[in-house]
Amino acid sequence: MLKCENVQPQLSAYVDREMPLWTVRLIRWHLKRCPTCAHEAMRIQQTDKILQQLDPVKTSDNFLPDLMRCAAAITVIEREQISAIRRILRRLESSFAWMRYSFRTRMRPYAVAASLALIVSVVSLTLYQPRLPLPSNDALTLAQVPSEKQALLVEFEIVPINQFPKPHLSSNRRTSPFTPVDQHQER
Amino acid sequence: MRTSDEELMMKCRNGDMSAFELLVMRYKDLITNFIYRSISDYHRAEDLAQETFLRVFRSAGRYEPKCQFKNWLYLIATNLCRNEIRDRKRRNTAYLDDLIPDNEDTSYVELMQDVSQLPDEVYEKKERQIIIQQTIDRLPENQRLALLLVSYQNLRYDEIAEVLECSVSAVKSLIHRARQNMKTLLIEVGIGESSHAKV
Ligand SMILES: [Zn+2]
Repeated sequence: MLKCENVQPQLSAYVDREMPLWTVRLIRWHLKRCPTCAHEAMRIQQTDKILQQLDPVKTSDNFLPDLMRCAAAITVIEREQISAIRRILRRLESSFAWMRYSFRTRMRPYAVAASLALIVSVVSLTLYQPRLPLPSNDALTLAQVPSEKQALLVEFEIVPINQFPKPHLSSNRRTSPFTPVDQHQER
Repeated sequence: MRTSDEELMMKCRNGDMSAFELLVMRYKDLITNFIYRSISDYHRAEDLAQETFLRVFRSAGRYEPKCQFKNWLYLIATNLCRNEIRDRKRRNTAYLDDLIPDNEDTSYVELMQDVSQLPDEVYEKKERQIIIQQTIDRLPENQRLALLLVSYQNLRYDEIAEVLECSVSAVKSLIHRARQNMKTLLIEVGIGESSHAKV
């Protein structure tokens, strides 16, 4: 058994026949037994009839001619736009054709030269390795520094050459070659 | 045999102006009526109806025959109506609110002045129509459009759903609410419950 609160929201769709047949039958069955819902359905139909009392209006005589004139104008404008687009495309096409032609005839030697230059520069950049400073090597430093100073000291007769300590070329220890031999040995 | 709207539209797409003219002839009164009842301004309704057909003509190239022509036409008209209603509302709130305390009453007086020279029966009928139109104008935008489409243009709920771009159940509820409001408003203005005999 359908309840009034379920039937009433469906009444508009019932009046418009916008529901499955079995629902229409159920609601019709309810309306026969419920004066409240039947009255509500009648009110909806009445509202619709009031709306349909509104006289239809007719368009004025110049509605169609005016409209067709506008449509024709649109057609002309569109045709002009299309032809303008075509003209632009044709111009672009011809300029591309000119570019292709000039490349084939005049520009080819320059283009070949430019491509070769580009290839050479790319290859040389790839192969070029910049000279980086050598990593500090204790053995080498020890070997080089004393030899210069050694020469100076010997030259100015500050140190006799036979007293000069031998540098530890294989040693990684940070020992100064100018340290007296006994001190060096103590450490 | 009658050529279908969709066939005419396909011809129109290929630049056939007579096909377009035939489509306009079929729908011009229906569309003008629908717009007129939505915005209640005849001259503006004609302009918007023309604009609707011009939009159809302009976008004929994009028309897909799988979509029903009539629904597409109503969709364009409905969107134009919506824009018009919103524009008016904006204009009214911006400029007229301070100047005219009750816009509806003013338009009613103007309309009644137009018909006051008519014979009694015609005058009464006209007066009644003006009141009904004003009641429609008081409905919210979507309810008004949905109610006009179902009761005045006899569209099905699924067609209205396509036109208003919502679901069928939303249409169902819109129409239900529109009728409830319409019923109350009609009783308020003295048309309805007590006027069974007239209907
Ligand atoms: Zn009931």
